[in-house]
Amino acid sequence: MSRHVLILEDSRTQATIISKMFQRVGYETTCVVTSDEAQEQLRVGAFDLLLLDVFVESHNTLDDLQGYRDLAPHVPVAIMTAGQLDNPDASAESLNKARRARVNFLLPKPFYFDDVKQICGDVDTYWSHIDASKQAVAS
Amino acid sequence: MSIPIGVTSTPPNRPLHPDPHHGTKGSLPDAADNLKTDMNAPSPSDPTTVNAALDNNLLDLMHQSQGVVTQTRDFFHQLDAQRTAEFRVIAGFLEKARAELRDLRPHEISEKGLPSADAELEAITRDTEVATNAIMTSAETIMGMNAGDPDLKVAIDDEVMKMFESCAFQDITGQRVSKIIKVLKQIEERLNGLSQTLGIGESAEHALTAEEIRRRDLLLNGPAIGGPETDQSAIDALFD
Repeated sequence: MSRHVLILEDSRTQATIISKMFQRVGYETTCVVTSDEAQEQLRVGAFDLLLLDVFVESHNTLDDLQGYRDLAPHVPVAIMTAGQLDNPDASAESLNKARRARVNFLLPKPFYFDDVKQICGDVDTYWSHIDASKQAVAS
Repeated sequence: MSIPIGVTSTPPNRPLHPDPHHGTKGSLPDAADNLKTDMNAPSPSDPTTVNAALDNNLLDLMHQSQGVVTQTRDFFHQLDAQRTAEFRVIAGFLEKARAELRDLRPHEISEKGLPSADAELEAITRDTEVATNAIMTSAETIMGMNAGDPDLKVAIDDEVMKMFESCAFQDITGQRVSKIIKVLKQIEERLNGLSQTLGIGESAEHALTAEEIRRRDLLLNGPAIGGPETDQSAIDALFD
């Protein structure tokens, strides 16, 4: 069974590039451009990974992190950011904010296919642990 | 009219003892003429009378001189007041223009804004060049592949993935362009502010220079934004 990633990225070009990388690893991909669309997808679909761009328009998606987790409690979250040229500290602030919020994976832009492959491997490991925990609880 | 020597004479139309209060009524040249005439008069038979006449004429002349000096002083005072007011208006205008120039913060633009925009443009050029070369290299690699290779599909996918990776620069480029546009808008806003302050308007008709006419005629303005001005069907029609 292939895994499914939900990608929140406001640049359609970037969404296409990222989507192709995940597809190459064997993932199904769903791309959305707003936080509202992402939450709507989480309500109706099942995903194995939630990939968020931090700065969507002028909005910081990390502010909505709790809402995503409420909708998909066990789905691991990866965040990607290119920072902001006008605000060089924004990237470091975002990465620290994400780490404090226990985000599972960090993907600073630009990233490459090898980075995506590594994340996908970690996602497999994550779900293996979850499945093992469930089996342990069940037994 | 000749006057015999030794004969006391009274000039016609002029009293021997002029009204001491009439000093401002006659003109200054008249008073001077009277004085000159009296001094050139023949030896008086009664010196006291002649001296009195001279004194009166001198007083008359002094009064009129005083009047002229007063009027002249008033004139220049008025002139000074007008000029002072005009210079104050000019000084205020210059101060306002100076403040506007100060608000332009030209050093900020030249030392910070423009070098930053320049660096971003260089980065865009560099990133575009790197991406283009990577894409062309992958394309060449694909073209050189052996069609009979059993791993052909995997090899092509790897090269295509490199092409996608190369396109990732687009995300940062958007931000770089936004930063440049921000600097240009700052310059535009400040120049508009200065233009309004100085009351400089656009001339209604802008006469094209020889260079502008040549560029227009030879269509040297670069690619049109949003696509060519002439659609393909119109171009095709030229060759029919």
